[in-house]
Amino acid sequence: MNINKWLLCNSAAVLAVFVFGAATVSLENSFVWLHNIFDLPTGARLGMLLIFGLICFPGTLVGSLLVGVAFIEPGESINVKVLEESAGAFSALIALLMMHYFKLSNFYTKESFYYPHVLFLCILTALLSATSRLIVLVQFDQLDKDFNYSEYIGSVLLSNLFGTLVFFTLAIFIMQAFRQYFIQHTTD
Amino acid sequence: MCAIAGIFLAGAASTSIDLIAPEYVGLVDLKTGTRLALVLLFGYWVLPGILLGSIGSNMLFLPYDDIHDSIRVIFALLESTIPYLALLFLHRFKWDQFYADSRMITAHLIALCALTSIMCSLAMVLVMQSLRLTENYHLFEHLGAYFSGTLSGTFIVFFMFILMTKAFMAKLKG
Repeated sequence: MNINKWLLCNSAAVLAVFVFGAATVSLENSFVWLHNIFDLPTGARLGMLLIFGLICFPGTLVGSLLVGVAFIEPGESINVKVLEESAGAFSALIALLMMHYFKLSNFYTKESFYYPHVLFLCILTALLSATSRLIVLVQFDQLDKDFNYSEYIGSVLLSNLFGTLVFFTLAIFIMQAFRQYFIQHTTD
Repeated sequence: MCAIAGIFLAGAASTSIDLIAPEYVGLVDLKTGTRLALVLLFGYWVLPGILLGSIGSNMLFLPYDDIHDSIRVIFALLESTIPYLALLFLHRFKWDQFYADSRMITAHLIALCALTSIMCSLAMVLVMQSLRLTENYHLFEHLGAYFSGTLSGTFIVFFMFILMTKAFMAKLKG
Protein backbone atom coordinates (compact mmCIF):
# COMPACT_ATOMS: atom_id res chain seq x y z
CA MET A 1 0.00 0.00 0.00
CA ASN A 2 1.23 3.49 -0.85
CA ILE A 3 1.96 5.11 2.53
CA ASN A 4 1.66 8.62 1.11
CA LYS A 5 -1.80 7.90 -0.22
CA TRP A 6 -2.78 6.35 3.13
CA LEU A 7 -1.52 9.41 5.03
CA LEU A 8 -3.24 11.86 2.68
CA CYS A 9 -6.60 10.03 2.79
CA ASN A 10 -6.54 9.75 6.57
CA SER A 11 -5.46 13.38 7.01
CA ALA A 12 -8.37 14.50 4.85
CA ALA A 13 -10.72 12.26 6.86
CA VAL A 14 -9.46 13.68 10.20
CA LEU A 15 -9.91 17.24 8.93
CA ALA A 16 -13.36 16.61 7.47
CA VAL A 17 -14.78 14.92 10.58
CA PHE A 18 -13.20 17.49 12.92
CA VAL A 19 -14.30 20.55 10.91
CA PHE A 20 -17.88 19.34 10.54
CA GLY A 21 -17.94 18.36 14.22
CA ALA A 22 -16.78 21.89 15.12
CA ALA A 23 -19.46 23.39 12.88
CA THR A 24 -22.17 21.26 14.54
CA VAL A 25 -21.09 22.34 18.04
CA SER A 26 -21.12 26.01 17.04
CA LEU A 27 -24.53 25.74 15.39
CA GLU A 28 -26.03 23.96 18.40
CA ASN A 29 -24.62 26.63 20.75
CA SER A 30 -25.98 29.46 18.58
CA PHE A 31 -29.40 27.92 17.88
CA VAL A 32 -30.65 25.85 20.82
CA TRP A 33 -33.52 24.46 18.74
CA LEU A 34 -30.94 22.90 16.40
CA HIS A 35 -29.67 20.60 19.17
CA ASN A 36 -29.43 17.02 17.83
CA ILE A 37 -30.99 17.98 14.50
CA PHE A 38 -27.88 17.92 12.31
CA ASP A 39 -25.30 15.25 13.00
CA LEU A 40 -22.75 16.56 10.49
CA PRO A 41 -19.83 14.40 11.75
CA THR A 42 -21.79 11.27 10.80
CA GLY A 43 -22.31 12.68 7.32
CA ALA A 44 -18.58 13.40 7.12
CA ARG A 45 -17.67 9.89 8.33
CA LEU A 46 -19.93 8.22 5.78
CA GLY A 47 -18.78 10.54 3.02
CA MET A 48 -15.10 9.90 3.71
CA LEU A 49 -15.59 6.12 3.90
CA LEU A 50 -17.49 6.13 0.62
CA ILE A 51 -15.06 8.42 -1.22
CA PHE A 52 -11.74 7.06 0.04
CA GLY A 53 -12.76 3.56 1.08
CA LEU A 54 -12.08 1.65 4.25
CA ILE A 55 -8.40 2.75 4.36
CA CYS A 56 -9.49 6.09 5.77
CA PHE A 57 -11.27 4.56 8.80
CA PRO A 58 -8.34 5.37 11.18
CA GLY A 59 -8.67 9.01 10.10
CA THR A 60 -12.42 9.09 10.75
CA LEU A 61 -11.85 7.47 14.15
CA VAL A 62 -9.13 9.97 15.11
CA GLY A 63 -11.29 12.85 13.88
CA SER A 64 -14.22 11.56 15.97
CA LEU A 65 -12.01 11.23 19.05
CA LEU A 66 -10.72 14.79 18.55
CA VAL A 67 -14.30 16.08 18.33
CA GLY A 68 -15.13 14.19 21.53
CA VAL A 69 -12.12 15.61 23.38
CA ALA A 70 -12.16 19.19 22.06
CA PHE A 71 -15.85 20.08 22.39
CA ILE A 72 -17.03 19.07 25.85
CA GLU A 73 -20.16 20.77 27.18
CA PRO A 74 -20.16 21.89 30.82
CA GLY A 75 -21.26 18.99 33.01
CA GLU A 76 -20.51 16.41 30.34
CA SER A 77 -18.18 13.51 31.05
CA ILE A 78 -15.23 13.29 28.65
CA ASN A 79 -15.31 9.49 28.80
CA VAL A 80 -18.94 9.35 27.72
CA LYS A 81 -18.42 11.89 24.96
CA VAL A 82 -15.33 10.10 23.56
CA LEU A 83 -17.05 6.72 23.68
CA GLU A 84 -20.15 8.15 21.96
CA GLU A 85 -18.07 9.59 19.14
CA SER A 86 -16.10 6.35 18.80
CA ALA A 87 -19.38 4.43 18.68
CA GLY A 88 -20.49 6.70 15.85
CA ALA A 89 -17.27 6.01 13.91
CA PHE A 90 -17.48 2.25 14.39
CA SER A 91 -21.19 2.25 13.48
CA ALA A 92 -20.38 3.75 10.07
CA LEU A 93 -17.67 1.14 9.50
CA ILE A 94 -19.84 -1.80 10.57
CA ALA A 95 -22.77 -0.58 8.48
CA LEU A 96 -20.52 -0.33 5.40
CA LEU A 97 -19.10 -3.81 6.01
CA MET A 98 -22.62 -5.21 6.40
CA MET A 99 -23.65 -3.71 3.07
CA HIS A 100 -20.53 -5.15 1.43
CA TYR A 101 -21.39 -8.56 2.87
CA PHE A 102 -24.97 -8.43 1.57
CA LYS A 103 -23.77 -7.17 -1.84
CA LEU A 104 -25.52 -3.82 -1.53
CA SER A 105 -22.28 -1.88 -1.85
CA ASN A 106 -22.82 -0.35 -5.28
CA PHE A 107 -22.68 3.31 -4.21
CA TYR A 108 -21.74 4.94 -7.49
CA THR A 109 -23.32 5.56 -10.88
CA LYS A 110 -21.45 6.97 -13.86
CA GLU A 111 -22.09 10.56 -12.75
CA SER A 112 -22.56 10.57 -8.98
CA PHE A 113 -23.62 8.53 -5.95
CA TYR A 114 -26.31 5.86 -6.10
CA TYR A 115 -28.64 7.47 -3.56
CA PRO A 116 -30.88 4.51 -2.60
CA HIS A 117 -27.87 2.58 -1.31
CA VAL A 118 -26.40 5.68 0.34
CA LEU A 119 -29.74 6.31 2.07
CA PHE A 120 -29.92 2.72 3.29
CA LEU A 121 -26.32 2.99 4.54
CA CYS A 122 -27.25 6.14 6.44
CA ILE A 123 -30.29 4.48 8.08
CA LEU A 124 -28.27 1.39 9.03
CA THR A 125 -25.52 3.60 10.49
CA ALA A 126 -28.11 5.56 12.46
CA LEU A 127 -29.64 2.42 13.97
CA LEU A 128 -26.23 1.01 14.93
CA SER A 129 -25.13 4.41 16.28
CA ALA A 130 -28.27 4.84 18.39
CA THR A 131 -27.93 1.32 19.83
CA SER A 132 -24.25 1.69 20.66
CA ARG A 133 -24.75 5.16 22.20
CA LEU A 134 -27.60 3.80 24.33
CA ILE A 135 -25.29 1.07 25.59
CA VAL A 136 -22.68 3.72 26.51
CA LEU A 137 -25.27 5.85 28.31
CA VAL A 138 -26.60 2.84 30.25
CA GLN A 139 -23.10 1.73 31.23
CA PHE A 140 -22.24 5.19 32.58
CA ASP A 141 -25.65 5.63 34.20
CA GLN A 142 -26.42 8.79 32.20
CA LEU A 143 -30.12 8.09 31.61
CA ASP A 144 -32.71 10.40 33.18
CA LYS A 145 -35.80 9.04 34.97
CA ASP A 146 -38.09 10.06 32.09
CA PHE A 147 -35.78 8.86 29.31
CA ASN A 148 -37.73 7.75 26.23
CA TYR A 149 -35.93 5.10 24.15
CA SER A 150 -38.05 5.45 21.02
CA GLU A 151 -37.67 9.24 21.03
CA TYR A 152 -33.91 8.90 21.42
CA ILE A 153 -33.58 6.42 18.55
CA GLY A 154 -35.86 8.57 16.40
CA SER A 155 -33.82 11.72 17.10
CA VAL A 156 -30.53 9.95 16.30
CA LEU A 157 -32.02 8.58 13.07
CA LEU A 158 -33.29 12.00 12.03
CA SER A 159 -30.08 13.82 12.95
CA ASN A 160 -27.98 11.29 11.04
CA LEU A 161 -30.22 11.61 7.98
CA PHE A 162 -30.13 15.41 8.00
CA GLY A 163 -26.40 15.50 8.68
CA THR A 164 -25.69 13.09 5.83
CA LEU A 165 -28.00 15.02 3.52
CA VAL A 166 -26.26 18.34 4.24
CA PHE A 167 -22.76 16.88 3.95
CA PHE A 168 -23.43 14.98 0.72
CA THR A 169 -25.23 17.94 -0.91
CA LEU A 170 -22.34 20.30 -0.14
CA ALA A 171 -19.62 17.79 -0.96
CA ILE A 172 -21.15 16.68 -4.25
CA PHE A 173 -21.77 20.24 -5.36
CA ILE A 174 -18.21 21.36 -4.60
CA MET A 175 -16.59 18.16 -5.92
CA GLN A 176 -18.49 18.41 -9.22
CA ALA A 177 -17.36 22.05 -9.46
CA PHE A 178 -13.73 21.09 -8.83
CA ARG A 179 -14.08 18.29 -11.38
CA GLN A 180 -15.31 20.75 -14.03
CA TYR A 181 -12.51 23.16 -13.05
CA PHE A 182 -9.87 20.42 -13.47
CA ILE A 183 -11.32 19.29 -16.80
CA GLN A 184 -11.56 22.83 -18.11
CA HIS A 185 -8.03 23.80 -17.08
CA THR A 186 -6.47 20.55 -18.23
CA THR A 187 -7.64 20.94 -21.82
CA ASP A 188 -6.72 24.67 -21.96
CA MET B 1 -27.67 27.99 -1.58
CA CYS B 2 -24.57 25.83 -1.32
CA ALA B 3 -22.38 28.94 -1.18
CA ILE B 4 -24.49 30.31 1.69
CA ALA B 5 -24.44 26.98 3.53
CA GLY B 6 -20.72 26.45 2.91
CA ILE B 7 -19.63 29.84 4.25
CA PHE B 8 -22.06 29.63 7.17
CA LEU B 9 -20.73 26.21 8.19
CA ALA B 10 -17.14 27.38 7.69
CA GLY B 11 -17.81 30.35 9.99
CA ALA B 12 -19.39 28.04 12.58
CA ALA B 13 -16.45 25.63 12.44
CA SER B 14 -13.87 28.46 12.70
CA THR B 15 -15.66 29.84 15.78
CA SER B 16 -15.60 26.45 17.51
CA ILE B 17 -11.94 25.92 16.64
CA ASP B 18 -11.14 29.41 18.03
CA LEU B 19 -12.83 28.45 21.32
CA ILE B 20 -10.44 25.51 21.81
CA ALA B 21 -7.51 27.90 22.25
CA PRO B 22 -8.82 31.48 22.75
CA GLU B 23 -5.30 32.95 22.72
CA TYR B 24 -5.04 31.89 19.06
CA VAL B 25 -8.29 33.44 17.75
CA GLY B 26 -8.26 33.59 13.96
CA LEU B 27 -5.52 30.98 13.49
CA VAL B 28 -7.76 28.94 11.16
CA ASP B 29 -10.01 31.07 8.95
CA LEU B 30 -12.10 28.56 7.03
CA LYS B 31 -14.51 31.27 5.82
CA THR B 32 -11.88 32.98 3.68
CA GLY B 33 -10.66 29.64 2.34
CA THR B 34 -14.22 28.72 1.39
CA ARG B 35 -14.77 32.12 -0.26
CA LEU B 36 -11.58 31.77 -2.31
CA ALA B 37 -12.55 28.25 -3.39
CA LEU B 38 -16.04 29.42 -4.42
CA VAL B 39 -14.62 32.43 -6.28
CA LEU B 40 -12.18 30.24 -8.24
CA LEU B 41 -14.75 27.56 -9.00
CA PHE B 42 -17.84 29.62 -9.83
CA GLY B 43 -16.65 33.11 -10.69
CA TYR B 44 -18.82 36.20 -10.35
CA TRP B 45 -22.34 34.85 -10.31
CA VAL B 46 -21.94 33.23 -6.86
CA LEU B 47 -21.27 36.65 -5.22
CA PRO B 48 -24.85 36.95 -3.82
CA GLY B 49 -24.50 33.56 -2.12
CA ILE B 50 -21.07 34.45 -0.72
CA LEU B 51 -22.42 37.79 0.53
CA LEU B 52 -25.47 36.29 2.23
CA GLY B 53 -23.40 33.53 3.79
CA SER B 54 -20.83 36.05 5.04
CA ILE B 55 -23.52 38.32 6.53
CA GLY B 56 -25.16 35.37 8.30
CA SER B 57 -21.82 34.09 9.55
CA ASN B 58 -20.63 37.53 10.75
CA MET B 59 -23.91 38.24 12.53
CA LEU B 60 -23.61 35.04 14.54
CA PHE B 61 -19.96 34.09 14.70
CA LEU B 62 -17.76 37.24 14.59
CA PRO B 63 -15.62 37.35 17.76
CA TYR B 64 -15.82 41.10 18.49
CA ASP B 65 -18.76 41.57 20.87
CA ASP B 66 -18.76 45.36 20.92
CA ILE B 67 -19.37 45.81 17.20
CA HIS B 68 -22.76 46.93 15.92
CA ASP B 69 -24.67 44.71 13.48
CA SER B 70 -24.34 47.24 10.67
CA ILE B 71 -20.54 47.11 11.02
CA ARG B 72 -20.70 43.33 10.77
CA VAL B 73 -22.65 43.69 7.53
CA ILE B 74 -20.03 46.11 6.18
CA PHE B 75 -17.27 43.64 7.11
CA ALA B 76 -19.20 40.89 5.31
CA LEU B 77 -19.50 43.10 2.22
CA LEU B 78 -15.78 43.81 2.24
CA GLU B 79 -14.81 40.17 2.86
CA SER B 80 -17.08 39.04 0.00
CA THR B 81 -15.86 41.48 -2.64
CA ILE B 82 -12.15 41.62 -1.80
CA PRO B 83 -11.38 38.07 -3.17
CA TYR B 84 -12.72 39.23 -6.55
CA LEU B 85 -10.55 42.36 -6.44
CA ALA B 86 -7.52 40.25 -5.51
CA LEU B 87 -8.27 37.89 -8.39
CA LEU B 88 -8.60 40.81 -10.83
CA PHE B 89 -5.29 42.19 -9.57
CA LEU B 90 -3.55 38.83 -10.11
CA HIS B 91 -5.18 38.53 -13.54
CA ARG B 92 -3.63 41.89 -14.44
CA PHE B 93 -0.18 40.55 -13.61
CA LYS B 94 -0.91 37.14 -15.24
CA TRP B 95 -0.73 35.27 -11.91
CA ASP B 96 -4.25 33.89 -12.23
CA GLN B 97 -3.44 30.36 -13.36
CA PHE B 98 -4.14 28.16 -10.34
CA TYR B 99 -4.25 24.70 -11.91
CA ALA B 100 -1.97 23.15 -14.55
CA ASP B 101 -0.35 19.78 -15.23
CA SER B 102 -2.81 18.01 -12.89
CA ARG B 103 -1.89 19.99 -9.79
CA MET B 104 -2.55 23.31 -8.09
CA ILE B 105 0.02 26.05 -8.60
CA THR B 106 0.81 26.76 -4.96
CA ALA B 107 2.74 30.00 -5.53
CA HIS B 108 -0.22 31.66 -7.23
CA LEU B 109 -2.59 30.38 -4.54
CA ILE B 110 -0.35 31.77 -1.77
CA ALA B 111 -0.17 35.08 -3.62
CA LEU B 112 -3.98 35.15 -3.80
CA CYS B 113 -4.21 34.40 -0.04
CA ALA B 114 -1.62 37.08 0.78
CA LEU B 115 -3.29 39.73 -1.36
CA THR B 116 -6.75 38.89 0.02
CA SER B 117 -5.58 39.09 3.62
CA ILE B 118 -3.67 42.37 3.10
CA MET B 119 -6.62 44.01 1.36
CA CYS B 120 -9.10 42.72 3.98
CA SER B 121 -6.99 43.93 6.90
CA LEU B 122 -6.45 47.38 5.36
CA ALA B 123 -10.14 47.71 4.53
CA MET B 124 -11.12 46.73 8.07
CA VAL B 125 -8.69 49.18 9.67
CA LEU B 126 -10.08 51.95 7.46
CA VAL B 127 -13.64 51.10 8.55
CA MET B 128 -12.61 50.97 12.22
CA GLN B 129 -10.64 54.21 11.92
CA SER B 130 -13.62 56.01 10.45
CA LEU B 131 -15.72 54.78 13.39
CA ARG B 132 -12.96 55.63 15.89
CA LEU B 133 -12.68 52.03 17.09
CA THR B 134 -8.94 51.64 16.45
CA GLU B 135 -7.77 52.15 20.04
CA ASN B 136 -7.85 48.39 20.68
CA TYR B 137 -7.03 47.44 17.12
CA HIS B 138 -3.43 46.81 16.07
CA LEU B 139 -3.00 46.72 12.30
CA PHE B 140 0.14 44.60 12.07
CA GLU B 141 -1.00 42.06 14.63
CA HIS B 142 -4.33 41.77 12.88
CA LEU B 143 -2.63 41.54 9.47
CA GLY B 144 -0.39 38.71 10.69
CA ALA B 145 -3.28 36.83 12.28
CA TYR B 146 -5.49 37.35 9.22
CA PHE B 147 -2.73 36.18 6.84
CA SER B 148 -1.98 33.01 8.85
CA GLY B 149 -5.71 32.31 9.23
CA THR B 150 -6.31 32.78 5.50
CA LEU B 151 -3.39 30.53 4.56
CA SER B 152 -4.33 27.74 6.96
CA GLY B 153 -8.04 27.96 6.13
CA THR B 154 -7.42 27.97 2.37
CA PHE B 155 -4.95 25.11 2.67
CA ILE B 156 -7.41 23.00 4.66
CA VAL B 157 -10.34 23.68 2.30
CA PHE B 158 -8.38 23.10 -0.91
CA PHE B 159 -6.51 20.07 0.45
CA MET B 160 -9.70 18.36 1.60
CA PHE B 161 -11.79 19.03 -1.49
CA ILE B 162 -9.09 18.40 -4.09
CA LEU B 163 -8.28 15.01 -2.52
CA MET B 164 -11.97 14.16 -2.25
CA THR B 165 -12.60 15.22 -5.86
CA LYS B 166 -9.73 13.13 -7.23
CA ALA B 167 -10.87 10.08 -5.26
CA PHE B 168 -14.48 10.71 -6.35
CA MET B 169 -13.43 10.97 -10.03
CA ALA B 170 -11.46 7.73 -9.73
CA LYS B 171 -14.48 5.97 -8.22
CA LEU B 172 -16.75 7.24 -11.03
CA LYS B 173 -14.35 5.99 -13.70
CA GLY B 174 -14.11 2.65 -11.90
